[in-house]
Amino acid sequence: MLSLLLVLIIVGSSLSFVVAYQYVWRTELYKREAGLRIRPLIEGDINADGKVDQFDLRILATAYGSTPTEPNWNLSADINGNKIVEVQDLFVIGTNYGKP
Amino acid sequence: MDIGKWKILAVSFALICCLAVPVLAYTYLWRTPLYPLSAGIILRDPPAPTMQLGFYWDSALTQPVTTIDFGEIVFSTSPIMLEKTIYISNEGSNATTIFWNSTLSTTTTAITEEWTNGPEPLNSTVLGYYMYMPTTYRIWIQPSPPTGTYNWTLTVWGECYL
Repeated sequence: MLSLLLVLIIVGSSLSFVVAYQYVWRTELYKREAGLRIRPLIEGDINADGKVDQFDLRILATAYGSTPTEPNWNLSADINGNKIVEVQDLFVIGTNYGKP
Repeated sequence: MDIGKWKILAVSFALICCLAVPVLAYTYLWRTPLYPLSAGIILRDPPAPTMQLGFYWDSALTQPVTTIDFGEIVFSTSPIMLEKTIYISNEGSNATTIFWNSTLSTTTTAITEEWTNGPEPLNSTVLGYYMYMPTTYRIWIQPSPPTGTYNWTLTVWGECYL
């Protein structure tokens, strides 16, 4: 008898949740893109150690050709922020190479 | 003519009148056909409720928010806090409870965020019909974050209980 009552209570409460859910209206989803760029003190200083040197070049070489979905992707190596580590990023290092 | 005859005439006249008046009255009583109606009030469906939110940079609600760009900041070893004020407007026909989420935490751990309505979190805030409110979207950049360009998506929706 008690178990029957329990079953009735469970079924009843589940039903009321289902009925209540029918009356919840949702607006559309409003999606807004957000973003920012954190740039190093010297462009091309990928590891942010204060100078553009072989270590930055090595990081870029490891990530070269990668996009955000790939395992060797490195956000910092994508210097121009176009979501691919490529020759233009290499140019930035080349331009500032040796700068403290 | 004796009195008995007059009596008979009067009684006959009275009887005729008693019969003729209802007959004549009934003849002049016109009725419309019978129109069976279930009720005197016709119920129509109420207008469908509308639910819409607007996002603006200004309190005059003239500059819609399309993207939230924090621009460019220089790498720093100190934490940085940036914030934007966004006016949210209820442009629907019902009070709406507002919710939001973001993809930022899946993008990076170097930046954390919050969206508030005054001192309260924006989530579960109820915005009344035809009302708007200033809200603050705030991000904290951790010390020495990886340099680069960060992009994420904010999703806002409203719920209304009818």
